[in-house]
Amino acid sequence: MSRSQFAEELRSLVDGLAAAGSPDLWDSLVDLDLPRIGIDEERGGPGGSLYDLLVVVESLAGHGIGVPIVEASTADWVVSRAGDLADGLATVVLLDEAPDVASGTLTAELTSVPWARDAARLVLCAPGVAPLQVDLGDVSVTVRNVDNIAGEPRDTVVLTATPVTSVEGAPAYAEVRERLALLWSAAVLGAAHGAYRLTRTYVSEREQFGAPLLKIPAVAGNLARMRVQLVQADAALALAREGGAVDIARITTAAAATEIAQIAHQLHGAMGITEEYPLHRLTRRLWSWRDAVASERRWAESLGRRAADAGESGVWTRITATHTEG
Amino acid sequence: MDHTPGPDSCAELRAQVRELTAEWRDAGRYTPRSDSWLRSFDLEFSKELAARGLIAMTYPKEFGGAGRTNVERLAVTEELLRAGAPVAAHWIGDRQIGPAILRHGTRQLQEEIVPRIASGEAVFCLGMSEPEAGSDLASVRTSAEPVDGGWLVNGHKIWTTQAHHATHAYLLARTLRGERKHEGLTEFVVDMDAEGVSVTPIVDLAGEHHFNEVRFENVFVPAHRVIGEVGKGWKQVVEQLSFERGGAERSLSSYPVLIELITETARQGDDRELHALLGSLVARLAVLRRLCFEVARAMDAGEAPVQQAAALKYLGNAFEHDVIEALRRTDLCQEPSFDGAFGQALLASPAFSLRGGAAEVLLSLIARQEARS
Repeated sequence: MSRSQFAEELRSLVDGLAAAGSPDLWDSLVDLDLPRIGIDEERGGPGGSLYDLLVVVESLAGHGIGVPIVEASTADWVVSRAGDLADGLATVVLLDEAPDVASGTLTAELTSVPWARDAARLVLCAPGVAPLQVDLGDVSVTVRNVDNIAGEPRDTVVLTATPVTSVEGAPAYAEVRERLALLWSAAVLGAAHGAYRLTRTYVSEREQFGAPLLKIPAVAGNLARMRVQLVQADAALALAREGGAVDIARITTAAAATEIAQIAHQLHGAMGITEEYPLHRLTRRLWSWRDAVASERRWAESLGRRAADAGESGVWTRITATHTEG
Repeated sequence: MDHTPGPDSCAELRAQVRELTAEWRDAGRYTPRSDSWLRSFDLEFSKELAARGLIAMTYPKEFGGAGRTNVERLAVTEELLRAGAPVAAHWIGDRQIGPAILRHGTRQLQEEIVPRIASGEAVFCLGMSEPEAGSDLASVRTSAEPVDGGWLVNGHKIWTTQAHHATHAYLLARTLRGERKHEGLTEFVVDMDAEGVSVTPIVDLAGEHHFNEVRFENVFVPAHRVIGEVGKGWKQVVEQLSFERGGAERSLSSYPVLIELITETARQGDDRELHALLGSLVARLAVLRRLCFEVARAMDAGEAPVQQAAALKYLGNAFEHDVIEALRRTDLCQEPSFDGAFGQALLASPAFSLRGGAAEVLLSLIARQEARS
C-alpha cells in the first residue's frame, strides 16, 4: 500500500470513529494505538510516519473533537526516543527557561499544562537541558483544573519537591517545539476545514428571501474567501511537511483560522452562536489552538527578525529552496 | 515536455538569470521597477533572454522552445520579476499565446507564429476586454464575419496593454450571434500592421502609456489564423486563464517594495511590530510561491488548474497590496515619488486586482465552483 493510500484509509477510519460521536472515542483511539503512530515499532510504537499522525490530528480536529492527541503523541515521541514507553496518558509542556532541579526534585508552579488532570506523566521541555519526566500521580503534585475557551484542560500543576527524571537522549527543545507547532498547524487546518464544511452546508440549505443564502452574492463571496484561506493553509501545511517550514505553516494556518472563524459565524447568523449548533465546537478550538504553545505573533516576529537579518537575498533563497523543485 | 528536470536544473536557471540581470543592471541598461512585466518594455532584453533559451521554455524544441517544464519556467520568471527586469515585450506571448497555439492551433499556425514568439520577434497584446465587456468577457461584440479566404473583423478593444509596441494581437471575437453568449466565440491571431487596425493611447494615473484602445475596421484575417475551433473559443479562453492567472507575476508586482521593507526593518533594529509585520508577509510570500509551484506542476501534468489559479491570483494580489501598505509603517512612505519603489508600486497597485480578472469576479468564480462541489 502506498503512503497516500494508507493515509486515506487512516483518514476514513478516524472520520468514521469521530462521526460516531462515542464518548469513549479517546479509548478507542488508544486501543488502536493511533496516538503513538509515527513511533517506530522497536521503540514501542505502531510504526507509521509523522505524516500519518498529521492525518489523524487533522481528521479529529475537523469534527471539532478535543482529545489529547497532540500532547500525548508528542510526549510519547520524546520519551520513546530515549527509552521505553509506559502505559497511561502522557502530556507535554514547554518552558521558556530551564527549571531549577535540586537533587532530583523540582518545585514549581506550571500553568497551562494540557490535560494534566487526566495524565499519568508530564514531560517538561526547556531550552538547553534534557527533557524532564514527572509522575503526576506523585503525592507531592497538586493539579488545579483550568479550561481554555474550547473547554479543554489547561491545568495548573504545582510541584513541591517532586521527583523528576531526566530523559537523556531525547530530542532537543527546538525539535519538540517544531513538532508541536506542526501538529497544531494540522489541528487548526482540520478545524478550519470543518468550519468551512459546516458553513457551506448551512448556506446551501438555509433559505431566506425565498432562496438558499448562497444565492446572495455577498454570501457566496464570503464562502469563496473561506475557500481561498483553506487553499493557502493547505499549501502551507504541504510545504511544512516537505521542507520543515513550520513557522510558515503556523502563521498561515493561524491567519486562516481567524478569517474562517469570523466568516463562519457571520454566515451562520444567530444559529451559529447557540450551544446546540456545532459550529462553536470548531470556532472555539480555532480561537484557542491558533495561538497554542507559541502565538502567531511570536512566530511572525521571529520569522521577521530572521528575514531582516538574512536580507532579501537570504529570504528569497529560503523561499525558493531547490528541494521543493526537484 | 521533452525531459524531466533534475534537482539542480532550477538552481542553474536561477543562477543564469541572476547573472544576466545583474550584468544589465550594473551596466545601467535597466532600472528595477515594480510591475515590470507590464510596464518595462525592452525588446533587446527579451531577445537576449530568447537567445539564452529563457523564453518559450516549455515549448517543444521543434518550434524554437527549450522543451522544459513549467516548474523550470517558474524558476526563471520569478527570478526575472524579483529583479524587476524589463520583460514586458515577451511576457504575454510567452505566457499564454504560445501555449494556446500549441494546444489548439493548426500545424501551419504553430509553424508560423510559435518560433517567432520564441525568438522574441513576435510581440503580442491581448485583445480580450471591450468597452462593454470587461469582467463579463463572454459579452464581446467584436465580430468576425466569414469572407472569401478568411474573416472580416470589426470591433473595438480596450485596456490593451502594449498594443502600441505589439506586432500581433490575440483577438477574441464573435463569429456567431446566438442565444448563449458563451457560444459562437472564436480566437484569432491578427497582425497589428494589417490594414484597418488602429491604436489610440490611454494614459494612466501615473502619466504612463501602457494601455490602449484598439479598433478593427474591416480587418481581413486569413482563415489559418483561427486558433482552435471556430465558435468554441470560450472553452479555450477559460483554459488560457490558468496560464494567465497562475504565475508568479500575480504575487510579485510590488516586490521592489518588499526589498525596501526588508532593508528598512533590518536598519530599524529592534522594532518588534515591524518584525511581526515582515514575518507575516514573508510567510504569505512563501505560501504563494508554493501555490505557483503547484500550479506549474499541474500544468506539467497536462491539467488546466483554473480554480487554483484563480485562488492564487486573488491571494497574490492581496499580498501585493499589503506589501505596499506595510511600507507605510516606516518613514519611507513619505513624499512618494514617481521614480521611487513605493510611489511606482502604489500608482500601479489599483490595477493589480483588476487585470486578468477582478477580485470580485475571481471570488464569484470560486463560489460557483464551491456551490457545485
